[in-house]
Parts: sequence; structure tokens; C-alpha cells
Amino acid sequence: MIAIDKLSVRFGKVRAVDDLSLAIDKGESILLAGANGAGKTTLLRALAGVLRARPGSILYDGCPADHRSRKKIAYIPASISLYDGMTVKEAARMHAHFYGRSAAWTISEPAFRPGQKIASMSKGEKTIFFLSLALGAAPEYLFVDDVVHFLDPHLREVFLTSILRLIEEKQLTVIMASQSAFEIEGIPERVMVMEKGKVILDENVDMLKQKFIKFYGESIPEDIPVVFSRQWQNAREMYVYPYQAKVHHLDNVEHLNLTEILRAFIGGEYARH
Amino acid sequence: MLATETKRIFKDGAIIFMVLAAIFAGIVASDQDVYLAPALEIFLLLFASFTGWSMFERERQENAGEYMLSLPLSRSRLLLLKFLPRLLSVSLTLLIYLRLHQSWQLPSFLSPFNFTHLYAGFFLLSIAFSISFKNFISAFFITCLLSIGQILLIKLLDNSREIGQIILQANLAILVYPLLFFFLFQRYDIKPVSTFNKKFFPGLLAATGLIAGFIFYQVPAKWKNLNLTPTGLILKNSCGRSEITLERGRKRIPGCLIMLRESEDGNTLYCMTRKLDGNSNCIETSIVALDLKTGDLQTLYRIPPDWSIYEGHYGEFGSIRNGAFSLFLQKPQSKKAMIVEIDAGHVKTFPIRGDFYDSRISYVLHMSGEPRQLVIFSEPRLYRLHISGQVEELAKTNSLGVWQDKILLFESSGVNLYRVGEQLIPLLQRKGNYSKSPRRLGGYESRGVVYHADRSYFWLDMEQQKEEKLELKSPPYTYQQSGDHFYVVFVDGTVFTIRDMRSGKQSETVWDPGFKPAAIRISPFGLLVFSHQKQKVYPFNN
Repeated sequence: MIAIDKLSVRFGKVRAVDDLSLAIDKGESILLAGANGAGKTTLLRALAGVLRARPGSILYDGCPADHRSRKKIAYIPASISLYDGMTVKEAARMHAHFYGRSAAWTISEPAFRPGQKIASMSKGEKTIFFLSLALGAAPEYLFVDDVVHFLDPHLREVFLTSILRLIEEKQLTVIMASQSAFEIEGIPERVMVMEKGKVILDENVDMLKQKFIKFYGESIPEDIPVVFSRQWQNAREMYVYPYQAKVHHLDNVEHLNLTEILRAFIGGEYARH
Repeated sequence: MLATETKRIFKDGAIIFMVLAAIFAGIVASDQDVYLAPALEIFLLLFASFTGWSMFERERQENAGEYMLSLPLSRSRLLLLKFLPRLLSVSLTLLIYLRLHQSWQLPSFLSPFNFTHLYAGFFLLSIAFSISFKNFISAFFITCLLSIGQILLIKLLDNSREIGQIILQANLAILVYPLLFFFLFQRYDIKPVSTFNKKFFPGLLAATGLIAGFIFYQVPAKWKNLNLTPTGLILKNSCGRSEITLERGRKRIPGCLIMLRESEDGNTLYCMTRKLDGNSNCIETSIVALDLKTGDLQTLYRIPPDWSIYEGHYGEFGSIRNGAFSLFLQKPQSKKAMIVEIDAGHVKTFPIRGDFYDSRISYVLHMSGEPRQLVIFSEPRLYRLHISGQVEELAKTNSLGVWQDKILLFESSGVNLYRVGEQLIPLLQRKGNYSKSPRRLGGYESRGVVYHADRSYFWLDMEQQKEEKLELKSPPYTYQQSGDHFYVVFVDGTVFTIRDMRSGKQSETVWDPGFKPAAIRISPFGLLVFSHQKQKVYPFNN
């Protein structure tokens, strides 16, 4: 379990993560969404120990985050930070030296030649190689920054299948940062949307889909919690969250998928009401 | 990681190694080793600096910083893993150089020992810049500035210091920078380098300021004068400051402090303070008491403008009778004189009536009793000065010896010892053409006096009124009685021969202070020789 308490990360005067408190259960898979600069990468970096968060605290299974807790963490940054000058064999040896190795979790496809330089890999290959290294150490927590969109459909399937397998078999806790849910829909069971360093939405995916609707009307009804609205041809599109039964009588009510819901929150084209 | 790091260091340093090999080949194959050997030293320093600076260069080049920081390693261990292979490689390279230096007798700027220090300093200092500077040239420049700059600064301020000693001091100071880096690295993260630098550079500047301040503080003052007290303390002074080392430690005192006389119990040193006036002349400003236990300084009397103390030698100014310290002051412009008496902090002044001024006074004996009077030696006159202004001629003499209330006069009739009171009471008389052997340095009154007639030398103990013939081949440089021992000092160049004499016994010691003294002082404690920055004391054993 991860317990985050009043976590803040500053870059000069900018608060990239602002007084954030969260609890994440073991085995949960979370989609961390948000616009550019919302604080997703910063939060993942703080969780991975790459960034020092102050003030605030992060506890892993009740223990303060430090270099010991990092052994349980696999963190795949968006920039795929690896020693590019190393060969596959050298990188694997070094990673195994620090994290240990679990043979059962090495990704066999695509196969990397031991002598292949990491620098010679494409970004997608590098991502899969990194995931292979990370999962090979049987982590308890996997933090993946926005990397899925680099992958071609085949590698994406390899990537996501490997993560899903680990979630099911080893109760891996996964937090994946992404600007959209399109590529990874089906994996996250909880979604968090960040804006200006704060979590503005934290909901179970299924519940969110039930609670979020879109309807059309001419004006915004006073008693309905419309969070976003926009003018669409002659009518006004209104997004309601949390969904309330009293909207039932209205015409043109639509339930949305996760990608559409996230677009409503982070797309930028919808003016918040 | 250790193996890959080591491999990487040697790979990165390959060019420098090639240049080093080429220089070495040039030294072996040509006769230009005088020029090439120092180049070898410079490239080795370059290698040490590069190796230190390149601590995180690989992460910078290969975009592996984030991966490195996410590894399950504490920052200290991470640093150690980076440091150890570098330490190994620079040590190995240095050992090879030292072996070659020894085998081939390479000429060099620095001795192997000093070079090792400088090399280690460059390595450690460059580590401190491994994050802050993205290019090596900047890091190397700052390394040179802080290391060699510090060495040059110390040398500039204190030219007498040995280069090895300076390099060692500079290197010890340089350790502050890697320690600062180590401390800040504990909080290092993926934030931009500017965030790290915001903490590192103020620390760097503060450390540099402290080091520079320490260097300036450590610079030995160009002392103008040193004096040795009867208890072995050394009072140093220049125009701007003074210093005395007490049991509690070194005491620095602003201003120029001149030793007047020690109190009878030896716990207080009476001094006068001087300062420069607008014409760069020393003017006397006050009489102070320096507590030799605590180092506390108490002003006793502020000397009025244009008044000066007219007395004898350092340490023998004025006299102490029954705990009261008396001094004789004159004001040349208005021909006025007075006696200042300080008793338990209370100051009394006794002006001499009428006009009085004598510029040639070399000794003043303060007589006890009322009305106050002084016996003054102003070559060739010895006279008594009454508080009423009346002057009474006592004798004509070219030189004299004084011990408490006894005066040894070298008169035309011979050498005569008197007790000074209302009258001069003769104690001992020797007829003949005697001359006092001069004590060629400032110092304390000596109970024993050496005088001679032709080539026969005599030692007279004024206290015991006992005379002894001395077997001396040459005139003494100086002499001093200390208890029952009488020390006669001869000088040959920078070597001192000190003859210790007691009744019927004598021994001789040769003493070489190891430098050419600018001046010599003597006190019952011993002999002090000093130059501007060096000093040595020969203590008389008893």
C-alpha cells in the first residue's frame, strides 16, 4: 500500500505537486491523467524516489520511502533513461545486480541480442527492454510514465499483456500516466485526473462511467451538477458529474467511455462551468 | 557498476594517457626532458581533474540520470560507487608516475611528495564540480583557481613558507569543497542542475571566503619588535597590532603594545600603547596593564598629547617600589617633566617644578621617600633631579650598570660601586682604567656586569659585591645574570656560544637558531632571536 500525505514538490515558485494526499491499495491499477504540466510525471518521479518531495511523506507498506523501498519499485520514465552505451547483457547484469532477478518475468519477445547496444534500439524497443528489465526484478509497484504511445500496436500489446499478467498473478500495483485512456483502456480500475498539481478527480473507472453523462439542452439547469459545457451547433453540450437520477427525464442523455470522459476533463476545449 | 565505471574512466582518459605516453617517450628518447617532464606533471593534473569531474558525465551523455537516481541505492552509496573506481584509477596512474619518476630520475617542478598532494587536491576538488559544470574546461579552470590560486595567495602573503607546507595547507582547505558537495548530494534529485547550483554556489563562495579569511588570518604579522619577559613570554608588536602567547592561548591585541616592566609578582605586564600620527610618527597614547593570566587589558593612564616616556630599555621602563609603578615623562616642546605613579589602579602625577628637559636620558632611577627625586643618567652626566626642579650633579661617567639601588660607575678614577640614597655610598672601588663591556642588545638589567682593562675581563656580581676574573679570548656579545648563573654570550655569524658560569664552574653550549636574526633580546629567562617571521628562544636552564 502506498500512503501519500500532504505531498508537495516545488520547482522554484511553481508547485508541480501541491499538498497531495492519497492512499493506493496493493494490486490497484491506476490511470493518472492530466494535461501537460498537470504534475503527473512529477508525482511519479516523487513516488520513484527520483525527486525529493518536501514537505510531505510517502509510505510504502507503512515504511518511509527511501532507497530500500526503491527495490520494490519499477519506474519507467517517459524519456526511457538507461545507460545507452551499455549492451543488453551489461544493462541486464547491472539491473539484476541492484534489484535481483526473477526469471519468470522476463519478456521473451522481442528477443534482444546480448551484444546489442541500447543506443541502437528504437524508442519502442527501448521501452519494451526497460519493461523487461523492470519486470524481471519482480517489482511490487510499477510506475509507468507516458510511454505507451511510442509503441507500435504489436509492442503495445506485448507491453500491456505483460503488465496485465503481473497484475493478475502477482497483485502488482500499477500507476500509468497518460494523457488519454485510449491505448490502455481495460487496464486501469481507478482513474485520477490531475490539474495544477492537485488531483481533481479520483474515481473507480466503472463508477466514473456510471456517474458521468452528457446531455444536450438550451440552458444549464440549476439543480444539475454540470461540470463542463460547450455550445454545439444550436444546442449546448453539458457534462454532468456526478450523474444524478433527476437527469433521467432529459432527452439525449449519453453515457461516455473513459477516453471521452478524460477528454472532457483535460481536453481544454470544454469550458468548465 | 564498479567494473564498468573503471573501464569507462580509462576509456575516457585514453587521450590523456596517450599524451602522457608520448611525453614520456619524448623524455626517454630526447634530451628535452627539462621541458617535457613538467608537461608530464601538468597532464597528470589534467587527468586527475578530469577523472574527478567526470563522475556523472556518463549519465549526462547517455541520459541515464533518472535511471541512476531510481536505483535502490542511497545517495552516499551511489557516490561511493562512483568514487571508488576513480580513486583506483588516479591512484594507479600516480603510482606508475612515481615509479617512473624514481626509476628515470625525471626532472620536475615539484618533489614527488608535493606533487602527490597537489594531484590529490585536483582530483578531490574536481569531484565537487562534477554536477555543477557541464563542460570540463570550466571545471578545470575553477579547480586551478581554487587550488593553485590558494597556493599562490599563501606564498604571496607569506613568502617564508615552504612550498610543500603550502600545498598541504591548501589541500586541507580544499577538502571543504568535496565535503560540501557530498553534503548537498544527499538531497540531489532530477530537478534541473540550477536547483543544485543554487545551494552549491553560495556554499562554494562562503567556503572560499572562509578559506581566504583564514589565509589572511594565518599570515604572520610583519612584527617590528619582539620582547622576552623574565618569565619567558614573548610580546610581539607591529604598528597595528600586538600579540602575546599566554597559558590560555594566543592573545591578539589591536594597536602597538610596548613592554615597560613586569609587576613584582609577575602577574601583570605594564605596557604603553603607541599609534601613528598624521605624519607617520609613533606617538604614545596610554599606559596599560596586561593581565598575564587572563590576557585582559586595562588602561591605567592616558598620556597627554606631546608627552613621552623617557626611560631605559624595553622591560626596564620606570620602577616599581612597594607595588607602585613610577614613570618619568617629558614634554619637549614646553620643557616640562613629571613623574606618574600608578598604585593599585590609582594614578598620581608629580610635576617637576620649573623648566626641565633632557633629550639624552638613558636611565632613570626612581628614589623612594619624600620629597620625590630621581637619579638620571644622561651620558656623561649622572645627576639627581628633585621634584622642586633642582639638579644636583653626582658624577661623570661614560657607562653604568644598575641593579636595584646599586649603581656601578666607570669613572676616570676607576670602577666604583655605590648604593644610591641621599648620598652615593661607596661599596666597592677598583682603581684603574676600566671599561664596561657593552651589552649589544636591549634587555633587562643584569645583576652581573662584565668590564675589562686591557685584555683582562672581570665579572662583578653587584648584589654580592663579588668580583671574579674571566678567561675570555674575545669580548662578549652580551651577558645576563639569571639567579646565581651568569651567562656570557658570543656570536659568530648565526651561531651563538653561551657560557654558563657560576662560582668555580662553567659550561659552554653552542646554539644555532637556524636563521639569520634581525634582532636579539635577552632577559633573565633566556635569549630571544627573531626575524620578521621567525623566532627562537634559548632558555637559560636555571
